[in-house]
This record gives sequence, structure tokens and C-alpha cells, in this order.
Amino acid sequence: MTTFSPANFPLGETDARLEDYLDDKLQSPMDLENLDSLVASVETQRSQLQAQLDDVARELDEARRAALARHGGLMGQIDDFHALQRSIDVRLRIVADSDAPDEAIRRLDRPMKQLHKVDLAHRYLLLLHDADALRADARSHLPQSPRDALRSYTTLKRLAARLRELQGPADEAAAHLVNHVAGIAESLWAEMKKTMWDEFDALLARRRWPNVEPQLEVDDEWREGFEKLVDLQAPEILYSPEVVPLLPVDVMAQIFVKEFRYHFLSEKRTSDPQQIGDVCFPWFLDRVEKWEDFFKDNFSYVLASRFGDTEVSGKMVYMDPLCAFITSLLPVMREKVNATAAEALKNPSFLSSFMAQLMKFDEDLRSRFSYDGGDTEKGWGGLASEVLHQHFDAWLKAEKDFALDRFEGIMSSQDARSIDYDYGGPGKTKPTFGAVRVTDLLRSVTAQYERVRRFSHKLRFLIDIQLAILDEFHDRLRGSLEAYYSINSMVGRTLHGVTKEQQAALEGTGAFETLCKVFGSSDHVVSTLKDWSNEEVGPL
Amino acid sequence: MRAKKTEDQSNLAGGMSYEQVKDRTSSSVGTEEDGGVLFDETIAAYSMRRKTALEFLVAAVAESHSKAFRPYLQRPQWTTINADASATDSYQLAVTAELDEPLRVRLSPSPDYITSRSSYWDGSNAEQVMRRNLEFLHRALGTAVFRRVLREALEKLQDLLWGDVLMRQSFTTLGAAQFLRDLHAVSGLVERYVPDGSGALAALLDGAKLLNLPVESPDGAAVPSLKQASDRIFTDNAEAKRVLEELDIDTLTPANARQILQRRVENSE
Repeated sequence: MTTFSPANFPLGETDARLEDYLDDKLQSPMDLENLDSLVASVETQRSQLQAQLDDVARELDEARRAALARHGGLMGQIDDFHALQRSIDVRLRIVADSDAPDEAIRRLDRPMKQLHKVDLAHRYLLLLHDADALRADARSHLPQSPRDALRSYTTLKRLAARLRELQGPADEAAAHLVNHVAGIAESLWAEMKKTMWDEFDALLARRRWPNVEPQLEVDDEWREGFEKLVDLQAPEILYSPEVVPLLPVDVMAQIFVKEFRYHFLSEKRTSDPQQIGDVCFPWFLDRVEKWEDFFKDNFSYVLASRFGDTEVSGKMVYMDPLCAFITSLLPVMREKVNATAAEALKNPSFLSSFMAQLMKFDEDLRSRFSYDGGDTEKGWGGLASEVLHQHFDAWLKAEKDFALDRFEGIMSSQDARSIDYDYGGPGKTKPTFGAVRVTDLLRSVTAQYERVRRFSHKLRFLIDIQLAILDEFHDRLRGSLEAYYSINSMVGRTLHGVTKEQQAALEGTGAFETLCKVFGSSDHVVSTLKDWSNEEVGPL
Repeated sequence: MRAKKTEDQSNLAGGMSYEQVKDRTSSSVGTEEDGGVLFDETIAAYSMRRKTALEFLVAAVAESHSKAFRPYLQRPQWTTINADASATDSYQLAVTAELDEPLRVRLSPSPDYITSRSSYWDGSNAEQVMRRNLEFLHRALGTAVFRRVLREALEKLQDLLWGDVLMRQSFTTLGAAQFLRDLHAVSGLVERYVPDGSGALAALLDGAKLLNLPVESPDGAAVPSLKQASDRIFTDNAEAKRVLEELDIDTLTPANARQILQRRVENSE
């Protein structure tokens, strides 16, 4: 820093301005007179300037001191800040090395869970309370007003369904609660049905059902009772994937179910499995036929009004009260059929006739009463398909053994290899008796399985039995041709040791006969098979 | 009904693969095409047997005929000269013994000849054998098949008689008449079983007709004499065709006609 002297004017040099000043003041000797006053004036001016200069110097000095002081304060602050930061760093390191916060969170965890559980338990209780309230409400409306009862039941049922739905994503939690609510819903439903059932059953007893004329027109109370039960069941029917027996029809069918058990599932002679086709099936069909008009005339309207505009409007089991009647009777028949099938498995020939009778029975229900089993697309599968689902292989084997036995019988009969000259009239190619009987046999095999509903089952019959027989017969015809060829060729004669008798048999028209048998029989088989294929009434 | 895709294609019939089913039934199983039938493969197999049986049958019938006609082919009497020229009308001639004789012995075939191959066979009588064959085939075969077997067998017989008699032997007027008479006997037999069935022998019959041209044209007859016809037929093809047309012969070529005319002894003198 440059030192600044306050009155340091350079005296040794002549200042131009001073010279000008002096020249101005001392222009004449006279002026020298005034020199003293001039000096005094200069002195005055000088001292004034000096005073000003001192002032400025002092101010500058003060400003400099102030700046210095200010700079020192800033540095102090910076130092303070650095110190603080170092201290924070140290503390952070200490904090980072410590696990105190986790500890705190863990300590809070359990109380939080407990709190959650308490909350959940509270909600459980509310749910259970709701379920009970719904049940009580439903009960209160029965048997007078099943529709009102249904409202509460439906809510309860939805609740149960919703719980079940939520349970999946929640890892099957709360199994007890979900089952409990579902159980309440189920038992309530059973209870509701029981209540309504009993009421309707009592009404039927008063009306002396079924000791009434099949032409009877039922009274209002009866019809209303029927309606009430349908109303109760309507949601179940609309949402059930399986066919549900109609409740009121079930009630009315009970007496027949009991009769059925008495006759056909007892120790009585009529229960003999072998009698099923002669006694049991006809009895069933008779009952259905007898009450056909009664059910249709009295209850068709009720069902149409309940289901006419719903998704099930195409299903005969709900729209046609007679089909509903069949649905209600079928379980006991199924029981009988299963028992009979178990017996039939021990006796192939009975199994064969039983299956034929059962398929006929199924077909009767379909064709005479339009029974659809609730399947609008494929129609009713029938009891036969249920039996075949389990026992198809046994049945196929029985039928196959019969058919192949019969085939062997045909082939070994005396005239099997004779030409049937009367076949088809003049101008027609004549097959052998054997060939005609073989195609008859194939036709009868077709009759055995033409009512089978499953395509794969039909195909097994076709392949395992019919094509097996056709292959066998074909091999015989080919064998016949090969023998002919051997006998007729020199090579064959030496190779196969053809006898004189064999050769002699081909003399005269003997050769023609051999060849015409093969030709006529092949021709017969070909045209029979083509007919079947063209008519589409063949095996499949 | 067809196998549709209603059930799992890979397992059409419990335990059987799609390919197995297809092999056993029809190549169209499992497709949506409507042309296939379930018995395709079986029908094809039986059709093969039917075809083979028919081929064997045609061959057997032809073989039977050629055996039966063997003695007839060796008959050396086509050059017989009849002193009585007026007796050469073929319809007044008896059928050659080798063709005809057993007809008189037994007029209708009885079933037992089939099993007891007795003297008739050794007699090798062609017409009898043919009658017996036709009778049998007529009963056993449908009309269309019978017609087809017969046609093919007659074509072979025609080849035989054409080659071994018509083109090989020399004929006198009487011999030619006899040949025609015999052919008429054969075609008459065929016609009895199959109307128009002798059409298969048309060329042979036309040949015999040409062979039977008279040495001298009868007065006022439209038929040319052997010499007149021969002269024109040997002139050129166009002229030959005209003669054949006049004679209502449409199965012979001019070359055939010349060969046939040369079989007449009168022409080779």
C-alpha cells in the first residue's frame, strides 16, 4: 500500500499554475506593496486547503479501517461454517453407523398388526351379524312370501359368493369365515326349500294327489302353491350350470319315486335286473304318458310366465312341465340302471340286450316327450351314455365277441360258399350265401350302436367290429383268388403242391364258379357299403 | 355321417390315433370335405378283388373257348367240293360236327356236368362248351358284367378264328358256306343270351360274308360274283372301299378284303 503524506507538495519544482498566479498578482511594483496581504491571503487559502485535505485523509483512513474490519468478519463466518459442516459430517457418520431407527420401526410393528387384527375382527363380527340378520329376515317371510325371502337369501348368497371370490387373491385366507357364510347360505336354502316343500306337500295331501283324474284342472291354491315354489327356485335355475329338478314337480313326483323303489329297487320279483326292459322301462314311460296332459295343461303357463323371457327359455326341462316331471323321476331310474349295469357286466349277452333296451328307452323319452336334458345344442345324452361312459369297453367286447362268433358261424355253414342264384332277381350279379349273411350281420351290428351318441364310440364299433369282419371276409376272398391263381399257373402248381382234386375242381365251369363267387361277393360288399355311405343311414 | 372336428382330432376313438383311424376307414376322415365316405379303404380293397376276379374270369372263359375250338381249328375239310353247286347255301348246311354234335345228345345242360366232367368234355365240342359257359355266366352275373365278359371273350375267339381259320385255310365255295354256317350258329347262340352280343364277332362275320361271294352272280341279284368283286377290290383302295360299301361291310379294310379273297381256292387257281 502506498504511503500518502498529507501535505507533500513538491516545492522544488516550479508549478505553472503558481507562476501564473504570481504573474497575475505581481504585475506592477505596486503590487509588491500588496505582497504582504497577498502572502496573507495565500496563507489563508493554503490553510483552508490543508484543512480540507486533512479531512479527506482522515475519512479515507476511516474507510480503510472499516473495510478491513468487514473483511475480517466474513472470514470468521466462513470459518464458522466450515466448522459446522465438519461437525455435521461427523454426526452423520455416527447416525449412519447406528441402527436405532429400524429398531424403532420394529417396535411399532406389532402394535400396528394388533390394531389391524382388532379392526378385522370387528369387521368379521359385522359380517356375521349381517349374515344372521339376512337369514332371520328370509325366515320371517316364509312360507307366505317366497319372493321376499329370496331377496335376503340372494343377498346372503351373493355375500358368500363374493367372499369366495376374494379368498383366492388373498391366498385362501379366512377359510373359516368364508365357509361359515357359505354354510349359512346353504343351510338357509335347504331350510327354505324344506319349508316350501312341506307346505306344498301338505296341500297335495289335502288334494289327494295322485289319486286324481289326469284330466283334472287344478284349483287356484294348488297352482299358486306351484308358482310359489317356482318363484323360490327361479334364481337357482337361472344361474345353475347343471339341470335342476323343478321343486314343485319334485314334490309331486315323490309318490312315483316311492312306487318305483317299491317295485324295482326291492326284493320283489319285478326288481329282477333281467326284467328291466320288459317291466321297468314300460312302467316309467306309462307314468309319464299318463300324466302328460295333466302337467302340460295345468302348469305350462306358470313355467312360460317365469322362464319365457330368460336364458333358459329354450330348455324343455324348464319350459315343459312334463319334461320337468321326467327330470324328477330320472334319478331313481339312474339308480336302477346303474344297479342293472353292474349285473349285466357279469353276463355279456344280457349286457348286449340291456344296452339296446336302455338306448331305446332314452330314445323314447327324446322322441315321444321331447326330453332334452337341458342341452339345447346336442340334446339329452341319455342314461345309456352315462353307462357307456363307464362300461363302453365291456360292452364293445361283448358285442365284438358275438359278432365274430356269428361271422365264424356264417363262414362254416354248409352253403356259405354256394352262389345264391335267387339273389336280386334275373340280371343281377349273384353273391354267395355267405356274403349276403355277412352284410346282414354288419347291418345288425349297426343296429346295435346306431343310437350311441358319442362319435368316438361309434367309430370304435365300426373299426373294432365291422371293419374287422370286413377285413376277415376280404382275406378269404383274396385267399380264394390266390389259390385259383396257384392252381392255374405252372409255377403255382409246383410251388404250392396243388393236388389233382384241386385242379379237377376248376375243370368245366368250376373255374368260373370259383371266380364268380369272388366277383359276386366282392360286388355285393362294395355295393352294400356304397349304399350305406350314400344313404348316410349306415353305421355312423 | 362324417367324422367332424367335434372331438379331439388326435384321439378320435379312445386310444386310436387320427392316423390309425384314417388308415382304417377313409382318407377323408377328419376333414371337412363332404366327398369322402367312411368305407373308402374297404371299398377300394374289395373293388380290387372284384377287378382281379373279373380279369381272371375273362381269361378263363377265353381259355375255355380256345380249348373247345381246338379240334375245329384242325378240321381239314374247308376245301371240300360239292358236286351239287346249288347246295352251297349255308343255311341248308348242317353245322360242322365238331361244333354241333353234342347238341343232339343233350339239348339242355344239367347241373351234374359241372361236377362230372364226362365224355362231353373229351368230345371237345365248341358250341356245347360255349352254351354251357354262357348258361352258367348268365345265371351268375349281372347283365352288364355278363355282356362285358362275353364281349371280351368273343373278341378273343374272333382273333382265334380269324387267324387260324379265315387267314390260314383255303376255302371252296362249300367250305366257305360251311364256315359262315358255323359262325351263324355261334352268333345265334350268343344272341340268345345277349341281344346284339354277337357284335363282337362283326369283323369275322363280315369276313365270312366276303368269303362267300358266289362264283357266278345269280341272275338279277345285286351281289357281285367273286371274280367281279375281286377285280374291283384289287384295283385300288378307293374302288375296294366302294365294293365293301356296296356289300354293306364296314369292319374290313381293303387289305383285309384282299387277304380274305385270296383264301378262296377259285382265286388262287
